[in-house]
Amino acid sequence: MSLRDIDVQGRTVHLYEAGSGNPVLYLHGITDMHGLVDSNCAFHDALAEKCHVIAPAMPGCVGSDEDNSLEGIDDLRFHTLEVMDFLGIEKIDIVGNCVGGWLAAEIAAHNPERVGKLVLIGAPGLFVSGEQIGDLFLAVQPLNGKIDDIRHMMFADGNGALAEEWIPDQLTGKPQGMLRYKTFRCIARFGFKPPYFYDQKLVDRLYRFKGDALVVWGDDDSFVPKTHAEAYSKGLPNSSVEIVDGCGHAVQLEAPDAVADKVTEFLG
Amino acid sequence: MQPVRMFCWHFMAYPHLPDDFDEKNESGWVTVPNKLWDGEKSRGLYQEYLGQLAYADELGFDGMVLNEHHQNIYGLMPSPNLLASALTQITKNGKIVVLGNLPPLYLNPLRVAEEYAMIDNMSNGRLIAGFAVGGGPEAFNYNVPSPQGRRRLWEVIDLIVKSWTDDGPFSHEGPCYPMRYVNIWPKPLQQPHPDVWVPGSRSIESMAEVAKRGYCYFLSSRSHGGGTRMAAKEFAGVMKDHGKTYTPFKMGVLLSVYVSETDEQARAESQEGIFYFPRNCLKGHLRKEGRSMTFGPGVPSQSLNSWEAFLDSSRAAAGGDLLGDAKDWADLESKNSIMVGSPETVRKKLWEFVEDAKVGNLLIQFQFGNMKDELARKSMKLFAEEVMPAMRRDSAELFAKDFPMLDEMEAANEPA
Repeated sequence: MSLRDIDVQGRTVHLYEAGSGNPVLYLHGITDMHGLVDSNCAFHDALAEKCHVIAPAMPGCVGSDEDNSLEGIDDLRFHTLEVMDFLGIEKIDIVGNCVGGWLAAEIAAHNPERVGKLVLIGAPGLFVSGEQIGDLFLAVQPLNGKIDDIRHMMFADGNGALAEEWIPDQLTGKPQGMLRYKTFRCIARFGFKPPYFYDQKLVDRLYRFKGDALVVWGDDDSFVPKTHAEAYSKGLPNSSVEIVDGCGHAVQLEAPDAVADKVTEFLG
Repeated sequence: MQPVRMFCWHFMAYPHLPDDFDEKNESGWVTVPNKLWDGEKSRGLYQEYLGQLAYADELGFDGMVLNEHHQNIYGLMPSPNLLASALTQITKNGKIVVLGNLPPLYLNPLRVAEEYAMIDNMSNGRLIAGFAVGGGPEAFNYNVPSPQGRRRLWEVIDLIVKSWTDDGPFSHEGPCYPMRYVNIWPKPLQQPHPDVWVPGSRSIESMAEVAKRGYCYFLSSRSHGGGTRMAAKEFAGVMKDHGKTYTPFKMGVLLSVYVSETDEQARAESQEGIFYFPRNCLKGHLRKEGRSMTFGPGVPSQSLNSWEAFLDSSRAAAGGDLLGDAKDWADLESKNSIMVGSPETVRKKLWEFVEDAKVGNLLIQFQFGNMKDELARKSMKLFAEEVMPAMRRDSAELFAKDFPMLDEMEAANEPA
């Protein structure tokens, strides 16, 4: 495993790489970026046993520079294409989790020639009437010093040790506190104001991606309802859906081996 | 010599909450259920509050202060400009301080330039124009993420002031608000433009933006004399770095006062209203209990630097007390921004504050929570008659001694 900083158009991007073999671009979400907790990501590790995992941290996350010009998902898509350009990646399999899944879907719809196979895990990005994506930002506001709501939104067992480890109540451990604050600040830039974590036109543009796609969802996702998995699958012509029982939104943390097995099997 | 200026500040809280409000609700902000609004009991409420501000004008206060908040029980002023407009017709002398409009919340911020220009004309040139970015709660109910909010605010302030001072039509390039035709009618009456005030809570970035434009900095975080003195010193330093001279009138501070005949009577009369304010109105905002939308890790309105400072501070480490956590008089008065007592007690406390902080604009809240009209008015009257004259006399002497350049600036007809 290696961590390094690269310079993309004058902005520092913090990059995680591990494993060898088929290269995979991993686009992270809220809970699963490298460097957020000391014991690295079990899912990253499991994936790296079969593939060469390349995971850039979004602007403002972990060691990456903030980007004040980031105002929408399109800006993030351009940023990510620039990261790919810098790394000399013409075309690559992409695994996108949570908001990273939305980003992956946008790249696949706009730039299908840059994407080999596509994996979306618990991805927001679509509008499904009556099936609202949760208010992440309200949920993370503390209630009497505790941020239980976000733990329940992210994990099937919101009271469990895993949820506590990834989203602790203490806002005061400074390095951790800053990392989490900056993560939410980054995500707020493209997800806070309406449309709330979706792109109304995306669903009708997904057909442009003709490659194979796998849609993975936790059975008990309280952030992006499970119905969104079907919506993605309907939009992507060559796709299938895998629902993981007993898991919530953070499915790749709750069942890292099971999800990694499904993903590596699909990627081949 | 210009003495300290004393303004009457109003929050216009919702006063008819049930007794079990605190027990049954996790916040007084954003999500506080509006079925609690009692239309019949609230008939005449705005008239009562406006009446108190008109009374302040009669009593000789230097002005009346309004502010903008949305979807909460703390302040029923989603549109302070409507109330400012009413004040133009029922007051004669005092400044009308709108502190402030929250332009990042609006699609086209020139609406603010236009409405402020109208208020300035309607009031015969009495507007003080405030601009603020909005706090955490406003981010939630108006969909404005804070990183963008700050960037927008300064573009808007500069655009609005330019729309007042430069001849139109001119075009504005943006980046946030590109406009082809900026050409407002009416223009404000005051020349070159109404005074601009901007609130901040001691972040150096905000101070620098205010200082380099020579505007007035309003310290929105309540603090005691010593804390205010530190803030004033920081601001004076920042002004100096930008080639400007600090005077007490470049800064304002929020205080709360209740005056009655004796100390005992003051406490007895104000107890209900004063504690209604932290317990209910500050729940969800400046109180540990309840859902915080002001200091959360999601979308707080702080910059990265301020968040870092917050994580560093003892308050974060200890989960320390906020104003809303005050349980008794000792708690409340230890914050020192709430002064309750006889005219003599309040005069003494306020003078200590002014002597320590040397801030020239005192924005004073007289009505708290569900405080009855007659009590708020009585306190204002006693203050105006028995505290204000001494404050004016003594502060003029103090400022003359400590800020000799004020006289020269006055002679040169420069705004202090």
